[in-house]
Amino acid sequence: MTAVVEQADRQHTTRAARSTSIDVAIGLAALACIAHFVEAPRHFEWWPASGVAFVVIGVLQGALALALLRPSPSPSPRLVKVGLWGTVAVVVLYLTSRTVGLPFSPGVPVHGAKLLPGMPIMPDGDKLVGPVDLVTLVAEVALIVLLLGLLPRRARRRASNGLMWCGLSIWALAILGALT
Amino acid sequence: MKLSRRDLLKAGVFAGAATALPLQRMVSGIDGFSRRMPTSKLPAPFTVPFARPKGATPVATTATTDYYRIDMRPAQLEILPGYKTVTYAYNGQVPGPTIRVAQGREAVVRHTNMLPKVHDRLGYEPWTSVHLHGSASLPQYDGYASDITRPGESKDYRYPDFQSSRTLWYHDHGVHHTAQNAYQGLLAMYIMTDPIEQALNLPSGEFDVPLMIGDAMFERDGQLLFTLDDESGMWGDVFVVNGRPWPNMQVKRRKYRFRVLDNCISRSLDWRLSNNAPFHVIATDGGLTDAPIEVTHIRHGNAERYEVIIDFANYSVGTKLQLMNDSPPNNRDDVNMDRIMQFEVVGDSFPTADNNMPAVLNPNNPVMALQESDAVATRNFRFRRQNGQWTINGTTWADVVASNYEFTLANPVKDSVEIWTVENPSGGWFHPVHIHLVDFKILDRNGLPPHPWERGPKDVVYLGEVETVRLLMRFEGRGKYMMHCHNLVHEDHDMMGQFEVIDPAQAGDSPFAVPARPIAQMGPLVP
Repeated sequence: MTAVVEQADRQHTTRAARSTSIDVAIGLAALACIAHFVEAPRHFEWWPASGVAFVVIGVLQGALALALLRPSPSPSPRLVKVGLWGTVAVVVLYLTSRTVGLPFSPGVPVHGAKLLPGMPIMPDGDKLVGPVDLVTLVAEVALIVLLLGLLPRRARRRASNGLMWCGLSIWALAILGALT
Repeated sequence: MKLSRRDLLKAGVFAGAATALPLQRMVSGIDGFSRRMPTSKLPAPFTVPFARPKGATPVATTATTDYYRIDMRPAQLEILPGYKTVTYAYNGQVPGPTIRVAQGREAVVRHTNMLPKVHDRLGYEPWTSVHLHGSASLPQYDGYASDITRPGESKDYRYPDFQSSRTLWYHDHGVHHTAQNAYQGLLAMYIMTDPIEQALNLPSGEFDVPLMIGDAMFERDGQLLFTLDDESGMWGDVFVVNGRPWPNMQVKRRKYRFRVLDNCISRSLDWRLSNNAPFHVIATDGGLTDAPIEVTHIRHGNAERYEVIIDFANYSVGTKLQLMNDSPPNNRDDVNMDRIMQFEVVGDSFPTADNNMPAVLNPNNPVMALQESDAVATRNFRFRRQNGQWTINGTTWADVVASNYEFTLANPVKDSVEIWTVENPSGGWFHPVHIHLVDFKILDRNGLPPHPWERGPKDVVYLGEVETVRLLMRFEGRGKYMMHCHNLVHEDHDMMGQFEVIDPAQAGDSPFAVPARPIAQMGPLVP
């Protein structure tokens, strides 16, 4: 029964809509992939695990672009779902790194805390957002929206609800001051 | 794509959340760029008159020693026309008062920290430590970073002044806050002369001109804006020369001696004259070169000093020459950061007695006479960012602190000669490496001869991207001294270490041997 519904959902995706939105999605995934590869060496030097993560993310985003490129009638809902939630995970990871910081990263050293009585801890390092960051982030968010549109109706509803709750959670944390 | 309005609305909640925080951080976030004074409000380059740092006057002199009092305190100064900027100043001046000494006379300087208990904007306690950069001072007077003077305290620094003539400078070195303190104005020149230099009859008086080149960024209300740029550095959008933004200096049609210091917190320079005319390097950090070296530009790292002769004799009155900056890689550039200051040639008369540049300067500098074969040891030091920290051979100042200041990176024997190889494996940043106590000779840079302008005695070496530089030096003195990156943000974030010169006959003094004391407990400055 599920297979029949999925087949029907799949047919629901129109050929015209697919060609445009898939092409754009491929471009966005490729853009994000390239950005991660470009930034990987610098991050590797800062913290090797971070560099590896950049390479892995770049590879996965490149793989997504290639998978979307396949000349099948339309990408499978499973592929679209994996691409969508994988990209959401990357965005959330990035947000964490630029706000509270990654809990398992080396972080900014607590310079001077044990130096002399009364010496304050060094001010935290700036978690800067550069132009490359922002372009990549916007590309990933746009990719998420495009992938959402490629999902069959039921899956799309579930995914859009998930995105909404995810977004509301982020807003709530920000308003409560947990993301600083 | 079949997205209903409801789907779009839900996705929009996520998209907004995902982009709003980074966007906010980018445009008005913690780096404070949103508070930055717009370029349109900054003075146009070369519209502000040039100024020279004022001199210091000793409060007392004896047969052997000059005594100075210098207070560090906030001062409101006009850096940008029409704005009063709160600075941290030596004796109310930025740059602070220039101390001029003769070789062989000791100087004693009482530095008193009269800064507030807490910086009102940055929220840190402005403790200080004063380093006389270029002096072979004893460890307790060398501005050891952790030998701090807190607000309300004072310390007498003794400077031996036995070295050859040179351009030194004194600046803050307080652990973890050097960048903030120096940025706000705690820096000044200290010029030492000797008989060799005096016999050369080089341009003197008004023709011997310090150029302290810094950069700054201002908030809309004219106050200094300080950022850390992910602990990479502090890059301003205004060049400030001797405390004036992009100044215009009137010069007469003759030779000038310029003592050029890059006192930017993080910015390196590659400067030249706008017409690419040649000029001559006559001295480096540690004093005179053996002969004038003709160059057309200088790649200039933080804390390096280059003394140059520029001859304006061949320019007609009214000619305007700019000192341009071809910014080296890995600086953050902004509008007008490609120009530093302007020289405007005027037709005023001038004395001719010292309008002179001898063909031979100091061919007998002992540092430059050292040979590679004199070295008894070779040591390697790797400067790199590692696990989020700026490290030297994988260690930071935190390791020194954790060892109760015992941990050292090297232990050369007194009077021995060593080769130190410094390496920067990264292409992402440069490190101006400063070694306290010693003057050194640059042997080679990535296996090639040093640049023409750095063929003199040095105490800072520009360690560029993916560069390995070999240095040759003799260790005179004894005790613990620092070595560190002179990008002050790197330095504050612990790219510091120490070495100890071992004298088998006598232990070196502790860097903490003469701690600062409350002002009220200080005895008389002059015995």
